[in-house]
Amino acid sequence: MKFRKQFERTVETLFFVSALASILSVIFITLFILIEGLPLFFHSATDYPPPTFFEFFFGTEWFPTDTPPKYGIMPFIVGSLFVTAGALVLAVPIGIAVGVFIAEIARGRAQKILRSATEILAGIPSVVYGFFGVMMIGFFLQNFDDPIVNYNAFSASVILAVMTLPTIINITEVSIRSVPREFADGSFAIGSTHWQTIIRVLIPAARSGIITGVILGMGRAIGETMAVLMVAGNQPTIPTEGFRSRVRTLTMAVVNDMGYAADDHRVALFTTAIVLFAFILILNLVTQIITRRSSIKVQ
Amino acid sequence: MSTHSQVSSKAAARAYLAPHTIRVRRQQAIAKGVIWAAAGVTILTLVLIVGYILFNGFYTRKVQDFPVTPYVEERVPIAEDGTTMSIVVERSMRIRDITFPKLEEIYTGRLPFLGYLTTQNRQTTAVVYDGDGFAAKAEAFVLSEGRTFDFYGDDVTYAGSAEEIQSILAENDGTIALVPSEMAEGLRHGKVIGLLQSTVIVNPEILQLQGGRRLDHLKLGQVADLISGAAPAWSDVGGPGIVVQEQDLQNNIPGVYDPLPAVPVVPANPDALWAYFDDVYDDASDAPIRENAVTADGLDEYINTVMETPGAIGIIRTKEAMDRDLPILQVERITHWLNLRPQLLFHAPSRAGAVGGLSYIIINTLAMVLFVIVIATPIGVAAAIYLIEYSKQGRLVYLLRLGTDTLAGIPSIIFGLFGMVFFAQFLGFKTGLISGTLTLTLMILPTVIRTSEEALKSVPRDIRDGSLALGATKLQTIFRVVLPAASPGILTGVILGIGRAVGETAAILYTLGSNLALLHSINSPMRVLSVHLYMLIRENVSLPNAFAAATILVVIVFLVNYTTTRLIGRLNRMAGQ
Repeated sequence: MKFRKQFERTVETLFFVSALASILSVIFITLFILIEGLPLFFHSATDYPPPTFFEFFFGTEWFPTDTPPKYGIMPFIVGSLFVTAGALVLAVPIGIAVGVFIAEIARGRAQKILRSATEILAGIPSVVYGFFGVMMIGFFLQNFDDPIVNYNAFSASVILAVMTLPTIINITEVSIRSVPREFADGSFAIGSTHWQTIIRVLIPAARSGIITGVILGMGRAIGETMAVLMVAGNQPTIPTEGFRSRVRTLTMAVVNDMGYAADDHRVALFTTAIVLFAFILILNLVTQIITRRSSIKVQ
Repeated sequence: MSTHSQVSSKAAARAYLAPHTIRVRRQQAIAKGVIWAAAGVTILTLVLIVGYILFNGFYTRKVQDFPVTPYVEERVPIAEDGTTMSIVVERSMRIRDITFPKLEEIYTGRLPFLGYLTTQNRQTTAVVYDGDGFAAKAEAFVLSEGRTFDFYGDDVTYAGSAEEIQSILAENDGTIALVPSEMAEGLRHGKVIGLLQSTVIVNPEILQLQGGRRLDHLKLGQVADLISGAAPAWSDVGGPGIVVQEQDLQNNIPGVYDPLPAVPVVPANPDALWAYFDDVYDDASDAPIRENAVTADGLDEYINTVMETPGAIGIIRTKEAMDRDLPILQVERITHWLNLRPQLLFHAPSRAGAVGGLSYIIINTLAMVLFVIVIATPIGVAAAIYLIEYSKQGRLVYLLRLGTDTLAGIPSIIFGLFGMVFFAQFLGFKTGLISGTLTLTLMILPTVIRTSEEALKSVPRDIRDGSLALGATKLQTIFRVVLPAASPGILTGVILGIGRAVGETAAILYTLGSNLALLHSINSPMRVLSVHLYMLIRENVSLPNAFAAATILVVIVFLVNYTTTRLIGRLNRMAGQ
């Protein structure tokens, strides 16, 4: 009996250790990225002084293999924010509309089809999206003079919009569903139409959930790598021609150079990854705060 | 109550609607229309992407320019005495015909890898039948005057008998043989392919640059149009005209051109050349030649006529055109074939994936998935059990949940970097299977934990209480009662995780590697489907193979979606009972 109890204890400890795995992973990931990336500011492999924080964040020139090397990641930050903003402009209205559609308007088969469509869109690997983007760009370049669909920020935004759509749709749907039925009933009781109920009661009540969805979508867009890498043009300068400019995002900078980078260049890539990581953590924190504050819990 | 009165009462009610109500209804109609449109856009996007990938994954259509017309000859006359030659290749080779220039390359030892023609992994074994003086005739047909195949090295095997050729065909899967037509049909392990050896030659002026443009190829129908007069002038097919005024770019004066009529040159005697002419028409029986055609007698006069008549077009054998370096007009040819077929799944890739199939890649992917499941499932389920069955709600649980949420939000490229630094370098696993699968495990852990949590939560309290009341310990209750009841939900999480792991690229590019080899040890770097797809596009290796890989990935997504939907349905039904 004593043995039995001890066994149960041991297994419980094992369960506990497994439960710790994810938080430990987060800590380890943070730690190792910091260890690899931070030395950029304190130690230089060349004769030139290491870049300062200011030079790194606000420098507009990225020439890591020049002498002296220049590590300015402003173009990547701007690039990331630019394509993400473009993606959200496209994805948020459509995403919220479709979420409302699934939750409130569609019935039966239409609802089922749209829900599966959303799940499949979410499941398609990013490299396949990128591949599709490349083929589309090829098609447009062949058939039009100077099309907007080129290796540029526009294509990246469109692809990212499609990729963030499922996140926004899902969370909008769930949060509208989790608005207590009494809200809608009350609205109907005072003579509102279905549409008025949706727009004046359900969406405002589900607001925090919808915002969470948008932020999660934003996180996915900022962190997306392969699809953007294949279509965004990969030019490490500040975008000056609007959506026609070729851009390089934070993620592209990392994955593009990691194959051959050495010494300080490699360290600088990890520093870039720290910036990306910080962006994501801030977004996560915001969603956490919103979810905790809101009265309606969204899973 | 008749419908009539209902309709009229409705109409009456509408007549008394307040303007405000009408406005509200109109707004509502518009808003709902917009929402339906958004839903339509979503579905359309999905159908477009998936349809495009799947269509091209199963069917490939290629438009290429060739220096020959698509006139196929299976029995090629090679000597005055009426000897005809056939080309026989190993039966499983994916090739229907071969152009004369390629045949010449093979028999002069310049195409050692036949796979570039067939997209299969095959080394060339060139054979020629050596009996009844056939080899000499074949040499005279393929090579320049007086040369033998030996002149270019010993790449060509001279076979003395049909049996010998048959055994070579059986042994080497890249065999190509030149044999007399009478022998060709009887060869086992072989099949006859056609030869393309008719070439469009034109007056040299046709290929000159004019007004910034040059005619570089014709569509097949255009050859017929030029000869029959359906396209009377060269400008009708994008060719040049007669210069009236030169283009002057500096002073911005556009060129002025008169139409240059196409002049077909036809042989005086309807000999072999006639067949070529016939074939460029759809209706081979009675091919009209336009009235301004010029006739020429004998090969030399024929060629001279084409070279000297403005706007002339003629068709001769490729070898004659190449030997004399005549102006050749390329002809577009459309080929199409079934792309994703069983051979593609079972054959090994080669030459960076340009030829061969995907077998190694698929096996590597399966191995990776297996490892990821074996590692991630126990950890994820154990974590979920702790969170649901053991922990009391509080700070610790909040922290653990926060960890899972944060892990779920971390971009895959960060996982890739971490895996590279931690697993591959710090722990010394090197780039390979272990580093890759451990990185992926971290990535899919949140999915497995969350879905398992939901599954455990959905198991009713009563079942647990019943088990405990019967004297089972907590652990026994979990393993014998709760987990079996929650297994469909847990399986859902695992399958979702598999879907994510299979599609992931950025996280494994630098942890799992991209070696195009079958995995041979637990540490070997290897390439999986998603990375293979990326590499094929980045290096522009093979578009059909890229589509095939993408198709497999999309099919996996559908399978994952289908099974999880079914499983969740089952879980809901169980919970309902």
